[in-house]
Amino acid sequence: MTEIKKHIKAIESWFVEKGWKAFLFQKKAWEYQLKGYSGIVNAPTGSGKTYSALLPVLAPYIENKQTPKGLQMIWVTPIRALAKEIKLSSENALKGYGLDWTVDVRTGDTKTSDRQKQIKKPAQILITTPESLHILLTSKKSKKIFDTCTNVVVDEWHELMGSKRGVQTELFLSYMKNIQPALTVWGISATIGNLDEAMDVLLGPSKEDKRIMIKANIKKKIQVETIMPDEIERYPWSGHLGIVLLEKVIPIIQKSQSTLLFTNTRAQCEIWYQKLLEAEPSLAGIMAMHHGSISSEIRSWVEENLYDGKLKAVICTSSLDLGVDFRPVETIIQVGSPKGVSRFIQRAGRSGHRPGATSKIFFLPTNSLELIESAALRKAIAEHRIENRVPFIRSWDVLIQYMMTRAVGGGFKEKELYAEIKKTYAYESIDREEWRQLLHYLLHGSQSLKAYDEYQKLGVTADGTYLVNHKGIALKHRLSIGTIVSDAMLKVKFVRGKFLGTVEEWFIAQFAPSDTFWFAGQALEFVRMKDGVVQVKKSKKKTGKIPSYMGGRLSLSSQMAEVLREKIYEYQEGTIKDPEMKKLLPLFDLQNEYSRMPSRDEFLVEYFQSKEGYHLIMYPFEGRNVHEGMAALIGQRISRMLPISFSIAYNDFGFELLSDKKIDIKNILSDKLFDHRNLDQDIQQTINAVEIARRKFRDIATISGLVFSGYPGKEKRDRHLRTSTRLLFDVFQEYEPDNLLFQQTFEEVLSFQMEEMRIRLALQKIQEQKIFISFPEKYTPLSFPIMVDRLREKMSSETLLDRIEKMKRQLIAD
Amino acid sequence: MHRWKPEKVIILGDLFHSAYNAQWENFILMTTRFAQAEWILVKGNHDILREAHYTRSNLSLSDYAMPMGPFLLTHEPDEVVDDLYTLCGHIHPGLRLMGSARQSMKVPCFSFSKQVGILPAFGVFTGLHILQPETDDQLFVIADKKVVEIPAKLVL
Repeated sequence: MTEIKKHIKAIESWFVEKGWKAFLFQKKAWEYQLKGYSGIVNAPTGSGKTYSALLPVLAPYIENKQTPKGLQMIWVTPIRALAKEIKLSSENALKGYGLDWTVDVRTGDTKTSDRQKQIKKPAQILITTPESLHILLTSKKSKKIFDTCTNVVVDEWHELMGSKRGVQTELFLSYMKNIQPALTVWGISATIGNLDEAMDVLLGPSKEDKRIMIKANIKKKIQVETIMPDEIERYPWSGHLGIVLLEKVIPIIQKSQSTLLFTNTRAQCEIWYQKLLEAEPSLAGIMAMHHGSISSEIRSWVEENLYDGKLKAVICTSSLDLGVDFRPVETIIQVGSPKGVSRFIQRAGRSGHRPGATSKIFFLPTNSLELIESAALRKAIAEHRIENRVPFIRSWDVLIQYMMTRAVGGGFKEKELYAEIKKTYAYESIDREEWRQLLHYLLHGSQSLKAYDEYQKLGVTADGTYLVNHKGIALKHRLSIGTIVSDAMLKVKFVRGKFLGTVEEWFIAQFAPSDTFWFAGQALEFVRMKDGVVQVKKSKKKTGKIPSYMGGRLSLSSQMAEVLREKIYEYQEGTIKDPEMKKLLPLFDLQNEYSRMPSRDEFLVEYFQSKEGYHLIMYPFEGRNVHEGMAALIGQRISRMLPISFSIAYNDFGFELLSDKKIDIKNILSDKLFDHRNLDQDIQQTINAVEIARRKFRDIATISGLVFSGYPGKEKRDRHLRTSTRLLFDVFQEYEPDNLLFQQTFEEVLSFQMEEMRIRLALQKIQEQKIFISFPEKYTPLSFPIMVDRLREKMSSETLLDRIEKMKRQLIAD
Repeated sequence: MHRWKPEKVIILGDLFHSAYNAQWENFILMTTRFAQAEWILVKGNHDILREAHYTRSNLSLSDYAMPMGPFLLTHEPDEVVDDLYTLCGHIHPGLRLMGSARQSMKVPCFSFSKQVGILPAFGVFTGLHILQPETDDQLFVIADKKVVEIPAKLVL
């Protein structure tokens, strides 16, 4: 028997004992890992993926019950909550094989004393997060710990890959491969559109190593049921709450053992919780709420009780998208459009955990048109149209942070580090000149900042080692490691001290003492602000404001948008079959009567006057991000032809340019308006792009250490941080526009926020379509939800003087 | 400075909204360049540089409101003396103008009430305090290098 077969047999011994049967993909993963391959295991949660990657590491030691010295395996997980579960399953396996290994968990929650113990006497298996690994790298002892480790597993890689935490993971792996040439790296990933790319990102683009993709081919059945409004004629055309359908939700909750109700924003979450409790008081005590602003203590309580089957329902946001399986959960309700296929599948998968069980998810539309999305989702799932996760590349902020990390952790030689990072997917294309700029930035601050010594962070020794000389700089750096930049939030505490969670600064700013607001499912009375903490007490009042949080508005993914368009074209093609679409027929008829339901080869444009002004509305059906960019672009191109001011609004279906001046629409709608050449230049010139970049720069400035968000407990106020990053942005814009961090900001805005590639494709498509201009008498079912949107951008090519004089005239006329 | 050749330049407070940095040197350079004028700073709540920095400049400092002719020059608007007209800064006054088609904008303004005149701040980072004017206040905004009067009743 070969060595490998012997090892597999050893692994299977425990399975035999337990009466389990290993899946084919598990056996394959064991075999290839033992052969020294790296790769990706593509398997859904709860399918035994943990054991597919863990057991081969134990295999060589099973027969003689050995405990090797030092760290053998690092298990990277994106969320702390999962670490506990992985620790449990690995300890189970270790016990099963009679192995006396230890397993450490190291996350942001780990106590300082435990961390020191972990460094003194490393366990065989370390379960941790990308951030914690980078913090470990700042310790001079880290090399000794990592030296013995030959295996790294990255769990939920699809999750990490689409964020800068993925880049952090790549950088850590490049370090590990350098000190441990025999390293095997395995990623575990759910299905995404670009799995092959996911493997290249994880393992590096060189492909020198032996690598393989192992697919589990376990398909979960998903059943989608729409909660239908009784009369479509009376269901609102716009809105995002869906409370009208609350009565239909209660029986669903009552019928199943445990239900998760997902909302898209934290504010929606609070409102649904409150309204459900009002409508069905018997849910008190067995219904809970879970969102990202609630304290982690309360969240853990909710999770434990859900796990133990003590909760009938939990109202939650994406905070429960990932994490441990809650077996009692039988039913999922999604309120409002999930905007993406994989998010919807992920949520559906939170129910029906028994192997072979069907996951059931209810879709609750919050306005009439969302019924189309329900039908579109079902089609997308059936046709397996899953989104790609786009990896970040050339993120200079993350690289600068990593260079600092290495400098703090004992220093680096620049040529060696350059060679190391060039092997990653993210920095494959870096050149010496860019590298020189980054080093220069860390040594001297940037070109325009060299007058300020606080930006000079590194020193070089005589033998060419880059390191940090000041303890203060090292400490600040350790505190700043990470790539998730959240808005500065204020803590909410009871006067007696219990911590409830966090709210945004500007939300609290509107309150006076004794005002009431709803948070974490209870009415709270604002008592005072003390040392940056919002002190509250319980209130008996029934009404109160509900915190709304920035950034709650997701955009349709390109997959969703595509299926959505196909559904819309069904009207003219006469192929409507879904019950949701049939229900919408009266509304489609109305749209077609007032204006037009577009067909596949038409691009719909509506132009009409109301007492507000002249509405120009276009419908690319591409999602709000794309529309945001397109609206700015088209608005700018029109305003180059004539002096005009626009107020701009957009949703997932289209965008509106509202002005007080009549324009000759037929003349303006030329091919030039939708030209896709010179696109990036034109977009960069829009005020919008600059404004978004200015906001985005805060993240990049924080990650790269340009600004420091404060010592723990003494976090800087949001307002201050925002002002200082704005200042830096303007300095770069004026004096140093070729600065790498400044450039990165625009690249991120173009590719992730405005999705430039999608704008380009959308414009190309419009060029091939016939423009259908309709002049309805008044608003239409499609235009109404856009028109009533209050969150608006502005754009003007009129002079300030003209605008002021015009407003004066209008005001006097009124 | 070239065109009007003023005898006095009086700054109504909040000259340097920061701890010391290189910009202070630029300011000193400017005051030496136009040394024929007398430079006066009526100190505001943000003028917190160390004494030595002020001494090096050719600024005269006034810690209190300063009467001059018919005016009382102050930083904050609540300093009022009978028979004198207060001129001050501090609050960064601005107006919100609304037009049809959901147009609106905020602009810095001069505001003159019966006894107090407030001067605007034009800086990008200074922020604006939107005024709720009285009916007989006189309000002016600057648009493209022109001064435009806005009747107070339009922004009430």
